[in-house]
Amino acid sequence: MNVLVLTLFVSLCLAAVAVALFVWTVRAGTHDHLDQLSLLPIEEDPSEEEP
Amino acid sequence: MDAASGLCLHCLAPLEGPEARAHGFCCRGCERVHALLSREGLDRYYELRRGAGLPVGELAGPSLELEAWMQAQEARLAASAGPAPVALDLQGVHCAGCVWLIDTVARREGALRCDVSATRGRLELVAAPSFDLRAFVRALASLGYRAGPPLKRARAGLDGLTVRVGVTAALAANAMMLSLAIYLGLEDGPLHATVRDVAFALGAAAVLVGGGPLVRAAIEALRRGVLSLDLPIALGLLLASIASVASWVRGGDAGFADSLAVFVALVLGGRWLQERMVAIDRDRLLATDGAEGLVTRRVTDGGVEMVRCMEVRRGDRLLLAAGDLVPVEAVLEDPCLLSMDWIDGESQPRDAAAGTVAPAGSFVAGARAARAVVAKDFVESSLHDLLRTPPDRRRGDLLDRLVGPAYVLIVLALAGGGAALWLALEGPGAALSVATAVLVVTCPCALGLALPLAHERTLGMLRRAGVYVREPSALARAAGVDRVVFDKTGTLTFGAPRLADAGPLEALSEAERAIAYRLAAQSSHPKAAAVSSALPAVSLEGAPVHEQPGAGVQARIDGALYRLGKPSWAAPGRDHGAADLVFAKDGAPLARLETVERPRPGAEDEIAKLAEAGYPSFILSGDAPSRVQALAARVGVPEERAFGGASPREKADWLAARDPERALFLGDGLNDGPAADVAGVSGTPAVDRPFMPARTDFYFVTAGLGAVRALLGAAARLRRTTRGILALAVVYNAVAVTLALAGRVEPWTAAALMPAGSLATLAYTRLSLKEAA
Repeated sequence: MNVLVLTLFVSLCLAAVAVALFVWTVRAGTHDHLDQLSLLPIEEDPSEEEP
Repeated sequence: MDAASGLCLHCLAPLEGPEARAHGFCCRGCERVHALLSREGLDRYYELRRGAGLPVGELAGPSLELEAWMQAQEARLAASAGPAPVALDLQGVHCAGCVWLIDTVARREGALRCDVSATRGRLELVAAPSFDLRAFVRALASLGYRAGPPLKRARAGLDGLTVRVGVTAALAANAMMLSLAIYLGLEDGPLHATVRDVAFALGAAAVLVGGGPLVRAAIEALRRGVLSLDLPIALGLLLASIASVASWVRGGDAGFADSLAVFVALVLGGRWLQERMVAIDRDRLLATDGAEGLVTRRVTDGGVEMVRCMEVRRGDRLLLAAGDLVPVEAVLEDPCLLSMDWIDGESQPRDAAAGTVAPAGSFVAGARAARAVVAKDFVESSLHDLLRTPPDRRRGDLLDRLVGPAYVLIVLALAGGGAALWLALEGPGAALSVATAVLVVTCPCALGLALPLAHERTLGMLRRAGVYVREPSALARAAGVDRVVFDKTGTLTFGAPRLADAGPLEALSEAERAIAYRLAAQSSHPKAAAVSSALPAVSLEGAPVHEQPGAGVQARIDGALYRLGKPSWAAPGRDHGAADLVFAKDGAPLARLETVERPRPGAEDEIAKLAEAGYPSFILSGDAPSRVQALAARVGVPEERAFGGASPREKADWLAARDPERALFLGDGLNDGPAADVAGVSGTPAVDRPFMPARTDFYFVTAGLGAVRALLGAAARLRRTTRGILALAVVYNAVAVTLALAGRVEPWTAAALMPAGSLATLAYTRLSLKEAA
């Protein structure tokens, strides 16, 4: 039973962290730049351009 | 993808009209941008973009307002000790392809960092002091992106709603997950008590976080005296919260805090979807601050300075360059060519002699700049009046428009009646339960989520057709429209004329065609542009070209005098028939040309289809009645439904006298503003300057007029879907309430029925609109 209560506590902590991260991304404007973020994988590495 | 598919090679918009199908591009702008991308090795744009793009339309240089802003930014950059931030508003950005293109161009121009937000239409750069902002803006313009000073306001309200939706949804989901254990059989004991208390706390927190905007909306509606759907929702929320707390205090289950939290999350999510879509549509265009942001050139002792028009006073001297707006009535000191299209809808530019008054709102259409003395303060000018922010039309929320006050009245009457009956029979506890149950079940998922979802999907379909809705209730109002009223110049037609027949140019020798192109391309007169667009481009190098204001352009080449302009000036003393433009060599005509106003592609076809669908078309224009009648005959509008010579106020009065709520009005110029304010629904194709879109319900970016039928069809479909959703909700609720009252519903059955009902409603919504998509 104690394990269940502990699991409940940990899961709620994880949910709280997820909510906090979500609020942070909204405030940071990340949701407004989703198109640019989607291009990150194809962005060229500037170090590769060095001779 | 090729032109054979019937789609534009650049933006994938449907090709309307034989000319567009022959070229493979929907407009000249798309053709030029496509060529530029290929030439510059930027074809990757086509791989990265998602779906169709936006037609480019006419490529335009920076506005005077942007010029003034750039001057200030350049000075700030130059004075900075190191890299400095620069923010710009953008128009025309719509996908990851656009973001990549702009980012690539910014880096090529030397920007150190570039953040582009497609949904906000905002660009934020970090650049070194040596960064050439002007060249960068020119490069953007050549790709079809318009830049403007950063005027878009932060979406603080929407961002706050986003946070509330996310937090409410997370809390509600966790509350429901824990409650599930109880629904599935977790009974008395310490674990049961813990789960019950935590589920209640999470549910209550969700209601507190998410319920605020719903209760506030209800209070605001009450203050305005509107019977809004928010009222029964807020009342139900309040009563259910009280009942839930009472149940928990008595030691029962988590009350219905979990169900209530899910309900709040769904309703709030629906509202967020609805607000986000229109916010994105609004931000796709440059913002305007009306008369406040207008800039003009004032002549001073030491030269010319850029000043805000609000500072212009009677007696000031202005310098009006090609393409400039005349901000206030002013006496011209030099002759010039003025376009009145924006203020009275007249399609033909007029020659204005020195000493005459240039009206406020006209544009300098010729290449030559003119000086003028201001006749009155800007705040007294007619332009200032036309640019005034229109009154808040308070046309109501979308849900209220779709559902109507009758539904709200019935819900309130049922809840009140039920409560009164049970108060007499069983006492206050039972009365509270019945009123709560009625209010909760009559404002189900259908109204909270399915209707906003249907609205969102409809807006998405319209976007794909190039139509952008700015006002949330516009589609609900469009469902009541029974006629379409068009302005003429710039709306039914393109503002620029074209040649009725290019045959006389094709009959010229190659050398003569090259000379005609050089003359036409170096004039900014709209008729000259019609000639240059009909000829193959050649180098402009060679003998200098001179423009004679009010007459045409001329050049001396190999000893011969070539002229392109008014027939009586280019080749005097001859009969030119219907020609209004002549290309001549030493006074002998080489080509007699006639220019005509160019209707939008497929205009006649669209008007016929609108009539077939039950929407008769009207033309209401400020242009000369003869030209209005001629165009009406061309596009198939009956003579008795075409009216010319109407002032802005007369247009509005004409609409106001004929059941304006049932009229959809389409205009492009400032002269259409008052009529747009009166009409039930208003729209515009004029996205080059933000003044008109800022006061209309929708705008469209396609070359043709298919947008009108698309909007009306979408509005009718949305209304049908709304009725279907409400019918489903009534049936579901009737069955569920009857079963519950009969004591046939166990808690776990209720927990399963609620999402099942919601899913069925959402599935119906999706299917109902899928056919149209």
